[in-house]
Amino acid sequence: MVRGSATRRWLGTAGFYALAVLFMLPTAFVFYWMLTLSLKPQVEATAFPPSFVRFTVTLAGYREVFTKYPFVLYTWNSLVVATGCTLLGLVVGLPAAYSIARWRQQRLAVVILVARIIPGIAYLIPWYIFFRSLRMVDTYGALILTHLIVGLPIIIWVMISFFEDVPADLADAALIDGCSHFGVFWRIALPLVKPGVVATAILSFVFSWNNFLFSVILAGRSTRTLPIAVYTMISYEEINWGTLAAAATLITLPVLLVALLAQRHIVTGLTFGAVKQ
Amino acid sequence: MTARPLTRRRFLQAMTAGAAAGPFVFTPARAQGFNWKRFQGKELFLLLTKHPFIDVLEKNIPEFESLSGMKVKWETLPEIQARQKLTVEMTANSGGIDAFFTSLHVEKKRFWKAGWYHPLNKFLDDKTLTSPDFDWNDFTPGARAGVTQPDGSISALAAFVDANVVFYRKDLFAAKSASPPKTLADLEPLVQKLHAPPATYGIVLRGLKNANATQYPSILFPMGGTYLKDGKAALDSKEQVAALELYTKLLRQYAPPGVVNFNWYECSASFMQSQVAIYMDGVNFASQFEDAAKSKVVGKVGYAVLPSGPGGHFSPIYITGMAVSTQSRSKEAAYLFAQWATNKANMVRELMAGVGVGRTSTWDSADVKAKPKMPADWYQAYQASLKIGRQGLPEIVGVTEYRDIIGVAIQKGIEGAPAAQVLAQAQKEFQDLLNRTES
Repeated sequence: MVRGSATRRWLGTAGFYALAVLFMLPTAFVFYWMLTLSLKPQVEATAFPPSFVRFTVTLAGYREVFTKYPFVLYTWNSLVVATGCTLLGLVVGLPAAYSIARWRQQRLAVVILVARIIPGIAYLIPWYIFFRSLRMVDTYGALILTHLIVGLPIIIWVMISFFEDVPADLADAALIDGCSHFGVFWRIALPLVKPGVVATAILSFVFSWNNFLFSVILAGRSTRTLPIAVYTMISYEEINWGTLAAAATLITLPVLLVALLAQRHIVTGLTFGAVKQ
Repeated sequence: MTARPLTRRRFLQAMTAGAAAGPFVFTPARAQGFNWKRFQGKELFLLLTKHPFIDVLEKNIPEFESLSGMKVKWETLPEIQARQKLTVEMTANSGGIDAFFTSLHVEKKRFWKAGWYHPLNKFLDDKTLTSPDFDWNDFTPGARAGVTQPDGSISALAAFVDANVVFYRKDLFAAKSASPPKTLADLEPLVQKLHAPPATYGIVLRGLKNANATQYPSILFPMGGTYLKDGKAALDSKEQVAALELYTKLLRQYAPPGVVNFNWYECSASFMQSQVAIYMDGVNFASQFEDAAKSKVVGKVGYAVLPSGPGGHFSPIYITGMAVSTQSRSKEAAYLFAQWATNKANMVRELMAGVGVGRTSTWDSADVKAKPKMPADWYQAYQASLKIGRQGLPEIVGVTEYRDIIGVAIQKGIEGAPAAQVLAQAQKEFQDLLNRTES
């Protein structure tokens, strides 16, 4: 009996991992292919049948990324914009989410969501005219503000459910003890939802990091962000696969690192909001 | 809507303004003569496109700055993104762009109707604005036609001229003692002779809808077909049927599997991976074929002009140019840049880098002959193609829509549908499109 259940448990575990590998394979393969492509010379990148494992390794793609393109500048631009967008989003979004959750301002929440539902391209021309007249085209400010249209609704909507889970009794108790509403938010609610803040911050950071459309129109040569940089490797009747894949790998890396480091927070963050007492 | 209809009032206004301004504008200018430094101290902003022509040009922009005393700022984006940006800037009426690189084969008539191209005719005639050695007539007739609108206004200065040619594998041809096709009638027997799958497929041409529309005229024009007849759609003519039959039959029988979804990328990759004997496409691909890091067929590729046919001898050409924006606040200064970018010296540099241009004099330049980057038959095929160049796509507003319409017909043809039937459908859709957009 004992042995039988041990075997079953072992089989169960094996089955679990087999399934996990099966589901992960398509995702992992994309990364594998990107990584190998970045190390291949062009003539092998387009070879048919494709070479999956054995190929000549070259670092030419990476060398080209750094020598032919101001890649460091682009990375810096992306970092500034994504960080700025996330911080500003948190400063504005956290109190907003708290207020919506605490006083049940559902309509306000819907209005904010609508801003996210409208396709981004609809904003472009008004924004362009607006920023142009403020002489803000090709500045970090314009990019950060426009990326907020993507980041802010996410922050608010995810955080609403976190704040809803903070027991109202705690807030009432604090108010009776003489704490202000802002004090309740700052000293009581916020520390309780910290994992959620981390999770939403990462999401917002990634959305800004990957945003292409707004940056293409509103950024100039000095504020161009990474996703646009990848596109500039596609020329007329020519695609430079090695360089493209090298740049893509380098762009994915920071996001991947941030996500791995903060993984624990993301997981607790995502489940915390779902559990009700 | 037509572009800026000339009303009686506007005509009279222009007349009075011209009469009043004439003496003051022209007298000092005539005394002055041409001078690169005329707009010294001005600042220009250019919107450029990622393109081999621009890769070469960008390196020399500092030279223009010191020549003109102007400061040039520019941005280079991939073609589609550049078009998005231009559309936003123009719609917003920002005036932020002075000159831009334009793909005339896609946007010529659309941008003209929108009024985004500043007509360059007066600038070209003005001896104080155009350098004496610029020589407009040095551009090939095809290149000049490509930048000129139906009303005679010149929308851009022709920069890069892409022509369709035949790429063929010299080694495979030698083994079968074959020579490049002279006429359309030679084409199929030749392809059949070289077809030895799976090692070698006879031919590859673009099969994917929209993309295939730029290669189709390589067969259509010599067959005698045209897109329009007296302003009406002409996709169901017997020449069209014959052309589509040949194009699709070649691909159905002698091309690599899956060709129905091949864009230029799959076509050129299969050719560079040594899988195909004949490939017909834009001459610009050659620089990749001759690069050992990208191609397995370096030194094995022959270049020839397209075959002729019962309708004549043509090469479909696609032109990009440097245009001056109507919204620019310094149009004349922007014109100086466009003029410099397409002058003889810069065009020679382009040609030396293997980028084709539509200026006759450059092809005989001593510099190009002394240091050819490409094989001799490439220069010959290219030059011969420019002489028989004809705009490869219909010059209408809805170019993209047309490309989809004919593209779907070609795809259906490759899959086996009768040419007459798919073209009847395409004819109807094309005429609808013309009714909607051209009136």
